[in-house]
Amino acid sequence: MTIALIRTIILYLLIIFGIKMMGKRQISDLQTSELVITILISNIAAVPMQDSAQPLLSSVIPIISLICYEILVSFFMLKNAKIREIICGKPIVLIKEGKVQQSALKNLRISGEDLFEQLRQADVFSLDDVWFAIMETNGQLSVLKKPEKQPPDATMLKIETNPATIDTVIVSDGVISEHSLKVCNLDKIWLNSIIKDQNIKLEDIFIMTANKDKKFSIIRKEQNK
Amino acid sequence: MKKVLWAGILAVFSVISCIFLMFYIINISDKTVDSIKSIQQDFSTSNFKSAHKKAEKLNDYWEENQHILSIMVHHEMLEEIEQCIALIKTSIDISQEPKNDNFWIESNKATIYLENLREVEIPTLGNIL
Repeated sequence: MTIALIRTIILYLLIIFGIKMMGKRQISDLQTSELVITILISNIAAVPMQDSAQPLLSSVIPIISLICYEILVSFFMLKNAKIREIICGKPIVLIKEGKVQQSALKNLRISGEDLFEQLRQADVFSLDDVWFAIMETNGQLSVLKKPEKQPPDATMLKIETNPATIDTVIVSDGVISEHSLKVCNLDKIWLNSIIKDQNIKLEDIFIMTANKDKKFSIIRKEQNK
Repeated sequence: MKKVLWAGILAVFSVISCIFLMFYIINISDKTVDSIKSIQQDFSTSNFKSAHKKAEKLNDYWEENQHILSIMVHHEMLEEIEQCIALIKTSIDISQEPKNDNFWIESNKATIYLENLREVEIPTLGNIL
């Protein structure tokens, strides 16, 4: 059992390292090749974890190879559109200028119900609202509504807007995040002055957020009863 | 770019190490088969002393290499070979007659296992498919 435990830890670390190398992505955003690699790696790793007679190397080498090939292929896909098209395919227009492309639906083996289901997931409940619908290479449907059905934005309404600033967590559970301070162009001197002004100890801060405009908010820790 | 470079290096390294390990396994199994054949030769010509000495040497040689082989080969396969090699030596100790069935059974079994180990490692079309 100890062997199984040690092997599990080694494979876990290897897979975490591999996923980090491949880059962060959500399962729904995975390309076909990435999904295949993920499934393959999980299956390959499972065998030597359970069977101690199986050499660990017989699993480690395929995992490392798969990760390397995935990185190399994604690099070549980035450099060459043709390779990308071969491996990932290309986006297919399902609705063009408001007209459903029946041949494209047939080719992708998507029924009318499937199309409507995906449209509903994209917050579109009437086919009349759609100007373009494109099936992306990762299987998600991108929808462009007709101009008259699109919600107005600030440009359309001719409203002047200020550049948005993002609030970041600069103190979490009493610990200062120096990275977040840097992102907001702030420093510890400013933070200490605020803490002093607010008459609060750093350890008593549950969350403190701030933005580039030096606007901040502090949530104190709840006192234990 | 750094990641791609590392991925390339690792991919090449894994290919090279696989080729190296394949030749290592082939080399070990070939040497062991040769030793067994030499023991069989001595045994059939009633040269039991030499056969016994060679069997001892073979046992030590296999024990030394089994640790490395177990990194790459299924452990059950290696244990079967180890058992056969140990029994070759024991059967020479027990009965020193050219018609010792146990000796011939175990030595032939070991040869078949080793040849199988060798064949499984070679990337022939049959093995790949």
